[in-house]
Amino acid sequence: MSAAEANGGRMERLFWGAGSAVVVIYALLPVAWIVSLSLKRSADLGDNRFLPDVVSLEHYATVFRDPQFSAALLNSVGIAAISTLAAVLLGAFTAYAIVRLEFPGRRLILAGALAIAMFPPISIVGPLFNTWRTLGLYDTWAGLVLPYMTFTLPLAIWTLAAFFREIPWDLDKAARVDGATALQAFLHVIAPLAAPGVFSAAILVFMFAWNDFLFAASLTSTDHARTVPAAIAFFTGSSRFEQPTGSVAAASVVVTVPVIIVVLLFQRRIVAGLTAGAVKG
Amino acid sequence: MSDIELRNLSKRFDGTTAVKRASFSIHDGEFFILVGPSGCGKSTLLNMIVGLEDASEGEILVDGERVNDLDPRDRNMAMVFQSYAIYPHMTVRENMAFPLKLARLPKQQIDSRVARAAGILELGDLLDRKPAALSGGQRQRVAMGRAIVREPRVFLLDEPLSNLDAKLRVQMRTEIARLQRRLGTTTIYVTHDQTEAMTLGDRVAVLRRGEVLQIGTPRQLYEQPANLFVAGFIGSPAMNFLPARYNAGRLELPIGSLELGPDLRAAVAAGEGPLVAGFRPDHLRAVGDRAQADLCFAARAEVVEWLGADVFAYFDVTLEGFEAMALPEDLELETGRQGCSSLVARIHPGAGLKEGDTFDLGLDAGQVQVFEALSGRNLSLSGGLHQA
Amino acid sequence: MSRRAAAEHRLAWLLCAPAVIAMLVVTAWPMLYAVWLSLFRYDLRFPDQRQFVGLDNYLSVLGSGTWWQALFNTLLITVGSVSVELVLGFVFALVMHRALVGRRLVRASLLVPYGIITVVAAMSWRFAFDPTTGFVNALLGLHGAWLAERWSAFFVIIQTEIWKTTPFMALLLLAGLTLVPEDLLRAARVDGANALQRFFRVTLPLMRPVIMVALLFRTLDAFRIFDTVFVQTRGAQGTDSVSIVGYNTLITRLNLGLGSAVSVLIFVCVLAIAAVYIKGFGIDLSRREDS
Repeated sequence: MSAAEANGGRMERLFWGAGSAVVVIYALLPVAWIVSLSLKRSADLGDNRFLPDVVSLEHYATVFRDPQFSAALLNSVGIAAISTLAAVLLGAFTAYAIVRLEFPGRRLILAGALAIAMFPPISIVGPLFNTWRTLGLYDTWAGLVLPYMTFTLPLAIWTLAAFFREIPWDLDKAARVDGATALQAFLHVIAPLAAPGVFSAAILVFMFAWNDFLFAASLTSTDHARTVPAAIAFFTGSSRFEQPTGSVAAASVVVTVPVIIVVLLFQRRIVAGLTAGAVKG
Repeated sequence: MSDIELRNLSKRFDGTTAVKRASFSIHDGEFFILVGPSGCGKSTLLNMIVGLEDASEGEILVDGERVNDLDPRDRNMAMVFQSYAIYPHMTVRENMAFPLKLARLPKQQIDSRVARAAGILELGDLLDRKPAALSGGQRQRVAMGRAIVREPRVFLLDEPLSNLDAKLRVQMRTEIARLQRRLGTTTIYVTHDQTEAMTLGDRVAVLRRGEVLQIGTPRQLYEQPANLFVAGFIGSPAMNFLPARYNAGRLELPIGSLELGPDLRAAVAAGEGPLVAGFRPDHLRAVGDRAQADLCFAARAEVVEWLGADVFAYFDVTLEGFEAMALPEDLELETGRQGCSSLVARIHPGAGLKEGDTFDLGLDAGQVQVFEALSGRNLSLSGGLHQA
Repeated sequence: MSRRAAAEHRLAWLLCAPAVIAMLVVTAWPMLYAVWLSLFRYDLRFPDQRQFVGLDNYLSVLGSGTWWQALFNTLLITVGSVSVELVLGFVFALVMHRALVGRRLVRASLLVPYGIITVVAAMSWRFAFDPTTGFVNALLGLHGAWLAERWSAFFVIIQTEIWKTTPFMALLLLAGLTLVPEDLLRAARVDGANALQRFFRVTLPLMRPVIMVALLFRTLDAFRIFDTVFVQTRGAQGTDSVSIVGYNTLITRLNLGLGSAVSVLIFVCVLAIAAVYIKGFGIDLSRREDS
């Protein structure tokens, strides 16, 4: 390799390396900012500096002492978990049928799922609001689990279908010839191979449910079922006169840290899930 | 160890018939081959025998018992798939033990059977590896190991060698032959490669478009093909074909004419429509003296292939005065350019033939087979299709 | 049809039924109910005054400046954010594609905006642009309250949206990039095309299906914007989106009739956008499932 080429190669690597750095900064800037805000003393909140002068944990103390916040956390975790379980379970059954079985209506179901993914949730908030009030589901966990489950089903179905298509189904035939019943073939051969895909789909679905604000804002009103996004948006803070900036920042960090951990640990799974559904699916 | 009988077995999919009324028997301990071009129904037939496909019509009997309604797991047959289908998340040992675990065999028996199979297939060192860490040939052996441990009544192999490179294929061919002889299990083997069929099979069934065209030993198929397709399919290089005319006891060919023997005369005269004459490359002899053969002609070698023990000379024959033949396309035989046929002769390497040389070839009447171009029937055989 | 095929059909429907029922019950039925409600004058504060009024609600909505302003706002935000996201997403995708060092770090960091709660992101940027607590003004030497003026507020909102969703776009485009066969690019190089030409003449055309799908989903998503606007301006200063208008009418003012009319109109708009994409750009959404 000539000197010019070596330099060119290094220049190019530097260029792309710098680009990478820019991307990372871009992505993490607001996160760093809100962490910094959460660590500033109340008095310093107006100092317009990016980084805190003096680090203080007072906002975290406020937030953790606030029963509203802990209730919201519990609600978020519980509701998202249940919705994920339901969506992945039902989605897996459907995706399996679509990929493996021949039956009329296969295309229709996929198309229908797609249609729901494109649906504006606001359009059904009104009817749901009214119906839930009548049925007593307003401000309950079930009241949120149902729409969450429904709106994540398309995501689950498309992602799982894409993953299931990659599984070598020949193996199911081999297992049957080897002497397995359908159930045994499923448990010993298919399930272990499908697990990564199911896990990816579950992460995506959980993130969706964790993130939702519109339904949470419309279909809940108290600690019974109010989730974190709604709680943060409606946070009034400890005093009527102070802007709750610090507390909101602390609360935000508390809910963002788990997200970051999950993202770091499972990034490959998440990316696989996203691209499987959209590109290959 | 079982014998299998198929009676009028058919399979239809949405209007196309994949297998048409297959009826034949496979004897206990036999190495039986199903061969034919792609789409001929051989894999479908195999899948029906193992139970992965339902038969549309007909019966499958194993040891006299009808098995049509049995699930694959109840037929006690083992199958090696073309893609091997070994479980990627299990080690080699677990792969081979899987069917035995499903059958609830005691652990000791499982271990001993797996060890024995691993020994036969030389997989001992690989037992704790996962499939991703194995080569193609090793994976193939694992697939076979998984079949062997079950000690089934029948082995079914669906093109097991087609994913291997040429050299490995030849090696594994002999391994499989040796294995089958050692175990003595009835084996049904599907392939599209006629060389594999000829070298491995005790008996071979040639299929085309769902129909069983002929069943016989490799030798019978080679020497007495029941029709044009079998004649052109079996044997490498393929049989030479030329259009032919029958005229008063003589068979007229573009290379000359031949006097036919009395029994053949009657059969050929009765033949309907255009005729095709076939003779194998090794039936053409280089002759010095023109009187040495029934039909002599001169040929100019266009291409000479020197393979060491054999030399193949490719030469052209003009079809003046003869209509071009329509040979079955799935034979994928080169019918040459317009008005010309390309033929092959096997020459002794000592003859020192070079490209461009003109040489004399001789053909004996007894070596020529005559076929009806339209039906493909071999008129040279008395009594039609041979069944073993 | 054989016994096994019939059994297969039955099993398939059994497996799909729960999901299908859930999707129908929670989407199709409420949608129909919304259409029904929109035909009534129905204010939950005065439930006894409920009355059938036909298309009056629609006339009210379509005749109100609020709706049209909201529609304009929403389209502005949509076009503004999606167009920037496409370009920026491509840039990021290319960076991730070509950068060899720390690719995993870059990808992981890009997932953070994707994973973060929209409300949190909106809060973070709101605080950043806040004249009292934020750093933007300090950095740029400005003094204005961004969220107090209409157009600067739009800037903040659009900027937040771009920040949050570009990563998703970038990841999709990256996946699409890896699908372009290396061989084609090499052939183009041998044919004499430089890097820019290779990008525009080979890579982009081959990625068209992926780009179209990504655009379709992002456009629909952007049109439905709610969280960011709510958190940053509550729709004040003339920055409300159609979803905000719907929320205000339905939940805040408890006017089910009018609010449902708004909902139905929003649904119609979404359908229109989808139709434009599918018919206009010829996106093939039916996938080959047997391949």
